[in-house]
Amino acid sequence: MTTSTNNIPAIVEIGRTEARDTLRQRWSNYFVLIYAAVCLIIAINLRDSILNATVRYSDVATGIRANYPANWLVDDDGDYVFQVRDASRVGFKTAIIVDVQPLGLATTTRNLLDALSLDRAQTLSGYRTLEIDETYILPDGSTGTAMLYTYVNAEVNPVLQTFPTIVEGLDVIAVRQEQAIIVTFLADARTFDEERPIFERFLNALEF
Amino acid sequence: MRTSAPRLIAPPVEEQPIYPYARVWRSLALFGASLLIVTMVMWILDSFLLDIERTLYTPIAMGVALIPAGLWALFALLPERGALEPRRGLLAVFAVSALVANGVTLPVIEGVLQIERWLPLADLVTRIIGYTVAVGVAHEISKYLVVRLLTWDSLLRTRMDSIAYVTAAAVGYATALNIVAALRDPAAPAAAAFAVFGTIAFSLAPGLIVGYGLGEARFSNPNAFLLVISFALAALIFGVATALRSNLVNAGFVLVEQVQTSAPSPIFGLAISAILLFGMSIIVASLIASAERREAEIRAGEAK
Repeated sequence: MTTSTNNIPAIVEIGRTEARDTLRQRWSNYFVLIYAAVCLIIAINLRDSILNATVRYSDVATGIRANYPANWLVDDDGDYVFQVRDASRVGFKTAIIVDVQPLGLATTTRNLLDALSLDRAQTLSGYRTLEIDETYILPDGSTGTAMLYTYVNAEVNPVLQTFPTIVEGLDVIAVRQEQAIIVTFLADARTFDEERPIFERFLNALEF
Repeated sequence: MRTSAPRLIAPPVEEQPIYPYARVWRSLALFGASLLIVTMVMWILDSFLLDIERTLYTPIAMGVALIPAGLWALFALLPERGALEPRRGLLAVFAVSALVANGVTLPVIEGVLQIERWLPLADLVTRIIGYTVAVGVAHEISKYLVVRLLTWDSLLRTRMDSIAYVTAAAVGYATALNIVAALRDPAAPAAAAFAVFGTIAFSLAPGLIVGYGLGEARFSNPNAFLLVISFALAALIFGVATALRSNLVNAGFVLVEQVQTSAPSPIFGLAISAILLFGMSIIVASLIASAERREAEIRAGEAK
């Protein structure tokens, strides 16, 4: 600090004296930052490769081939061609169900949707159709039909003491050679949008 | 004949140089040992003596989550007041580290890396790699940046300063994680105490290695790779220890003749955490002692 003749500060220097880092110290810091950035990229790649890993499924009888997410459980014992479920998920297990229905000459896709809705309204609690899109574009560019709906799923095992889950479902229907392929995606309504890309990837790789 | 008492010359008294700083290893040992004792007491009380209502889990878990911060303040922060040359800014490092953990690192780990969706179900090797590159690096870079930015220029005076500040950062960081865990999913008191000790040990033990690297980089001017090697080693130790601990502690499911399940072994997990914390402290302490001895020898050689 310097003072003028009448003892009033003229220049006040503010700041601290900083020890300058050596070149090695600077580079050691940069190396840590670079290493952390590289690890973050590796971690994201690892995440994507594990989350998007798939297993091949093929059904000779119906000619359906699909890639379903690895670690999901496949089941082909029900009244459908097959279904895969994310058994690791807490609460409602996200599922993709593939079914085939024959279409008569007089039967339209709309008739099929109505039949599905009627059936579900009787078996599922609080079933509501939310939206029907008859111009749904399938991955191969052709037009299909999609129906968005919701219902309440209650755990059948009373010992588990869980709250009912609001489930959101999406049916995508494509007609091939007088057969309707119904691909259904079911997820907890809270995570439906977050998990929908899994269904989109499944649909993209589906062959029938 | 005259006799006189022999005149004795008193040998020169070697005065012990006064150590002007608070003792870091002593604070760390007291902190670790008392936290271990508190954890064991909680376990004994919860398992054998008390029947605690579930409604009390959240406040108890919150209290347990704050115990490490209290012990750190008692054994590390308070002695600084009595030291001739107290370390400044320890509380700031603690607080900023906790804020970074809650505001930056945790959202990145959960929102961007989404480890809960893919890591717990992966095989052992993938889990080791995943916990190292995703979680270990995220934890360590957060603490490293806090200590590096807040202390490097003006607060680091000796190698032990880096250990003291890294300890503050690690305890602050782990406290934030423990509070979040207590609020989200309050466990029974014994389980909460085990989890708190585990989080502290897994934050502090790798942090000490980074602290050693920081101290060396600051005062020894070593190879430029030493710091990144210590950083990578810290993340790797976190990854290996986390993956192995979950393998050894969690309940298993065995198919041998008939379906058998085994109960989780939290005591085993506590033992692993304690061995990691105290083992790493001893290793880093001996490395720092060796570096200081080497430096003293060099200085003595130059003086001659």
